[in-house]
Amino acid sequence: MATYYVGPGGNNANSGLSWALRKLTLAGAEAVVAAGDTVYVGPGTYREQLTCTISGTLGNPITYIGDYFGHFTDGIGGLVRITASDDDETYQQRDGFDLGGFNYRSFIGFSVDVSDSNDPAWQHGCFRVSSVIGAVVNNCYMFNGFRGVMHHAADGFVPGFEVSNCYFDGTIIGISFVDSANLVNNAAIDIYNCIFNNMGRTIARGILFTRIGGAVVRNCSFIALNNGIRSTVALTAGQTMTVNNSMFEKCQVALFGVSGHAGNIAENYNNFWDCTADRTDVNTGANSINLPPYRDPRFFFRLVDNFRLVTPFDLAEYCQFINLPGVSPPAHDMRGTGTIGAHRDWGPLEYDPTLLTASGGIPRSRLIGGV
Amino acid sequence: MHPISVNVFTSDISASSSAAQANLSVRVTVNWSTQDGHKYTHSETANLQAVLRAIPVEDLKAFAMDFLIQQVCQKAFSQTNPKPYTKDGV
Repeated sequence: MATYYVGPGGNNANSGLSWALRKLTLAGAEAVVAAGDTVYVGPGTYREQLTCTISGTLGNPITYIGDYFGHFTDGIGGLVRITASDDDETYQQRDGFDLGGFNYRSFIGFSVDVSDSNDPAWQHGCFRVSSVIGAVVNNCYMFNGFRGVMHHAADGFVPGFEVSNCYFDGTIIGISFVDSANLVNNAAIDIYNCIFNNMGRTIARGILFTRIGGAVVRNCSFIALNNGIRSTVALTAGQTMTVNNSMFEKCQVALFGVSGHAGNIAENYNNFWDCTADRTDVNTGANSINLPPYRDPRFFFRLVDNFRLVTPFDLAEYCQFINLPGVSPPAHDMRGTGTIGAHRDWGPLEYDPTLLTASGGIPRSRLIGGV
Repeated sequence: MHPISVNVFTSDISASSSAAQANLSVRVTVNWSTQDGHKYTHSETANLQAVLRAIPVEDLKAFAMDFLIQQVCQKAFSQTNPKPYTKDGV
């Protein structure tokens, strides 16, 4: 199990086995990795599409880590951006990462942007995980892109992937999993602690699924979307997409099911606020509610206060339903904060009252009385 | 009064698309409540006829259903008594 390094100033002729001997591109690392290996990618902008060429194995995935803090690479830190554009004016590549059908691949800590063109030839995504099992996309920020994460197949393949702690900002469809020909049952798709935001087009969906049953969505926020989650074709009887502990705010239709198949989306323990319709052709969860959410705007005040923003996700969303029980929420929120109180809060961010104090480890903004 | 807990069910969908025209008809039933606890329901058949190039019927349903559901919801909310209200200000 080797560790490789990639960064600006590297050379693909290097071994990649240390930061000093780093590769220049992700493709350079891909040429040498094997199951169980880890690749640390240093801060910088990488104008390439990584097309995978090898699988990891169960328990020994191949992991690429964008080293935002620089702890393992340059010691300084910064954005690790993968872009499909060569010049920030037009897009030359279709995808950010294309797994190419290879299994057990993990990607952590990247900022990814690709074209959001409506042209079918370009409707790919930041991560293309089509027809794979064991794929993980974690702690990633995706913007533009016709799709953030996509599994598109026509062969009845039963996909398996996890998408967690990710922010989908302006991708036209956040996560799209589609089989265009066959009904697929019991897919192992787990989506949690994600924020879907700012997808204003008529066709914008947080999550779109077609003919694929078995996915679970937990503790996500869907904000200002045309559809939060949409199912387009009736699933096999008994198959569902399960949605729990999530928040839907200002969506046109938060949950959009299939006429005559109101059980396809099985929702419960969710909060809906200010959506034109909470549900279309979806049965109402017995424990779902309608309460106003309140954002914690500290991220803004830190941003304008000499850029002392600790993390772009240093925000919380809370309301009266803090610590209401739910169904199988993840143990930690997208910041890594564990349960505070009796239950894990709904949505991707745990409300942490200790962050309100200077002693909480995060400096207060001068605008609210900090130093 | 602010509409909350808005649920929509559709039925009797018919859609056709030709080189000259697209047609969509759907029965839309809207059930909603307001913060004062009143419950309301509104049901009507919404129709769309548009001059469009031939597009797949599934695409027509996917895109035009959104429009018709929104239209019916706004019409329904505007009839909420005692204070007429439309969520999107139209």
